Amino acid sequence: MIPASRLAPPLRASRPINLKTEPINGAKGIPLGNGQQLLSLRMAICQALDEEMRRDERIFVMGEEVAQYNGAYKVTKGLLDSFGPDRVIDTPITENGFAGLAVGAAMTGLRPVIEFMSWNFSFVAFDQIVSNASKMCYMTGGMFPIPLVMRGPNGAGPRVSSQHSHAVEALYSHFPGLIVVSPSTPYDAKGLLKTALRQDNPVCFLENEMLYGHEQDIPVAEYLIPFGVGDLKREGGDCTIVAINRCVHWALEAAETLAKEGISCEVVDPRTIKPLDIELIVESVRKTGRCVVVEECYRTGGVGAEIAAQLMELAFDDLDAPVERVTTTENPMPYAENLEHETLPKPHRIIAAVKKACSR
Amino acid sequence: MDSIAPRVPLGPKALADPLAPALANLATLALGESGGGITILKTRQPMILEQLLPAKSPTMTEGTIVAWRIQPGDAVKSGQVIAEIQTDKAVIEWEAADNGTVAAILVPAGQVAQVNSIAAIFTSKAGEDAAAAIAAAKDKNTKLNAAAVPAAAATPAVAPAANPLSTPIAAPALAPKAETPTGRGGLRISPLAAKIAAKLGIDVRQVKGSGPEGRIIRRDIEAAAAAGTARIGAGAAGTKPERPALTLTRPDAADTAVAMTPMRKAIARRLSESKAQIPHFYVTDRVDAAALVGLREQLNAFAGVKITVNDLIVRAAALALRQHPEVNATFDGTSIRRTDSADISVAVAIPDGLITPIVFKAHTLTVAQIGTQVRALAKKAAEGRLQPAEFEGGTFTISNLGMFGIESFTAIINPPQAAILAVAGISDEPVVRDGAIVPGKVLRLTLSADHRVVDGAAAAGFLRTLRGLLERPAGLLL
Repeated sequence: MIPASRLAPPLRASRPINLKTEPINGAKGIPLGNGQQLLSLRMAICQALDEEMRRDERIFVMGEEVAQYNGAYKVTKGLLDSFGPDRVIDTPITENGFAGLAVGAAMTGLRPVIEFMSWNFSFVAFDQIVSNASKMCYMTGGMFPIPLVMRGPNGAGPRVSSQHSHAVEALYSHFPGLIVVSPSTPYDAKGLLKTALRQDNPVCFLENEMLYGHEQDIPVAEYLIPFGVGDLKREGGDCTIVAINRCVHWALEAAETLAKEGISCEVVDPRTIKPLDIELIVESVRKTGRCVVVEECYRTGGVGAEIAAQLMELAFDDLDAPVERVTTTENPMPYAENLEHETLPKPHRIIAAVKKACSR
Repeated sequence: MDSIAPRVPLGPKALADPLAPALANLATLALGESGGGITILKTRQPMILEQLLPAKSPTMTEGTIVAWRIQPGDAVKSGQVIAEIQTDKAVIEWEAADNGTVAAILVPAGQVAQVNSIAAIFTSKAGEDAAAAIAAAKDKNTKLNAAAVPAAAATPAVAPAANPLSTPIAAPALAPKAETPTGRGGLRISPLAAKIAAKLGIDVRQVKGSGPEGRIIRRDIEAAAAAGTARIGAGAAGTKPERPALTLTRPDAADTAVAMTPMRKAIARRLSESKAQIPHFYVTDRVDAAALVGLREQLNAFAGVKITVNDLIVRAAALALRQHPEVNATFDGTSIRRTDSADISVAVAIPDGLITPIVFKAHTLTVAQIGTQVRALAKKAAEGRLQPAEFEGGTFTISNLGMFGIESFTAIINPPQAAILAVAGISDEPVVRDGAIVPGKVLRLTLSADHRVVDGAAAAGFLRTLRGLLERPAGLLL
């Protein structure tokens, strides 16, 4: 059994950003009394940055429009006012340049946080991430660890078409030396980002534009969430759904519908793709005998492929059906809204996969 | 921010220093003894020369040293015969590949060892210390030979119960293929359902699957368990589930266990493969052998001449093969090779088993020459001294059990050849000659052919030609 303490606080419905009513400083949550505060995912990230920058003066934030414009998605709102231009730095549109700069800064002992306005733009900095950030510590015999956090929105936004809709969990978890974090809730995002800022490895911190407005009651008191520890977002007995990032919300929606048809789903959110909490997934599959993996990456070589392979290795005799994968279909993301809907691993596709796994 | 300094001192000195000794070493090595000008590396290490048991035939995996011709302390020259090795087919001389002094012999004469076992250790110069190398070699031999035991035990790849005709022939592959088209002995069942069934004692053969394509899944097992049906031993319809009968053979005091010699193993493996994988078919013909017997008597009347019926048959087969090249062929699984030359393998029984030395270009030899060659080869075979070149590469085999008076028999094809001729004995039988039944001499020949290479008509045509040559045997002397 998974202890109840592993269960995260309940989610609230998403709310679009309202610049007039949101606090001036994104790091300041809305107090709810009884030790809780209301935070959107955007604010949770800002609060984690704010708290850690106060705690450790080596941390600085760098990226396109992170300072004077308060971030393209207002994630760094108020940080320039709080920490000044030495620690919150606007860069030109040069991902390859500032990623390299950050690797160098980390080698001197600083702890940079760089924002990719979108992870799609990380592709022009691919060499810095894969060849330098992830290899430097190894290649220097441990002399130069790279405590670098790379963060930004990942996955499909609404109708941003083929070049700007990539999900990169599978891509970056392929390379040894990188930690890949993909949180789905404000609570998880804050706790995981604080952990990322206190350890010495390069971290790909994958947010989602569509989740920035999601709100949740979370503790005012400080907490951290370790890497490699997944979370049960819903308990159930018939089928395990492993879902990542935005797909967690689609999986919960699908589970709700399936419950009405008498199929009880357990939703597992690994939270970090690398390291992966395969133990939690196996534990759940031992209970249900079935597994559906839902992700925004493509099917070939996706995270689902990896999880399916590990389940085959570790839980073969516990599987009552082949592992199903619900992924972004293997085509460039269409611009048209109806086609985007069919391309993404939305609830109707998850429901079909769960029924197939359950032979229903 | 100002307070943060780089943690590691940088600079050329800091980086170069740790490498300095290594660089110096490198320089010394490259320069050699005299310190300058010489670019050839010189070694002062005593050189250990391991003598690995060689694979003397393509199918040899293990061998026995019949006798060592060297002993520790001997100086050995490259090319010198150091031992005789019993392979799976013959005793072969092993020549040294190195000059050196024998430090130790590690595989004693008479012991079976895996190919690549370190049979002996030489040193490049006399008196060098090889103790460490000998210890390591013994260790390696132990591991190598221990690892080979289970593999060898698992070798008999052909299930005895399998009907060779129902075994699918995978065209290029020679290894037998497992055929369980639906997995788990014809059942489709999820791993979880199988596990639960085993735990609950459910006979899955009595459970109907409700999953895709009839796969038995957890709910089917749970339903069967709840209904109390399909228990192992209970039987769904009152009948016991069929179980294969087991026949146990108890050893008796008078029984003898016979160790498999390398040759016996080779025979077992090759003939099992042949019979299981080659679609054999058989064509038998009856030859009126009166003229053949008469010719032999005439020839043997000459002083110093000894011709056997087999010599005449080898000659006749060689001539027939030249007329039927489709039978004088080999098949490697992917392509057929028709051979111009009739290189006839003659099966020879020897104490350990049998071997098939070859009469090369038999169609160019006289009956007397064939006879001389066959007897020389048989003698060498009996002594275990055939060289691989003398028994590898034939195009057709003749197996003759005539000396036992056998009426007829069939033989197993000797791959990669396409056919083998089984020659029975000549017996006195009534024959019809010019419409009348008269006493005659009859010889039965059975051709086993590989249907992938040879068709029935071709096999029959070959036998008809052969019969013609044997019934009017004067042509064999041309």
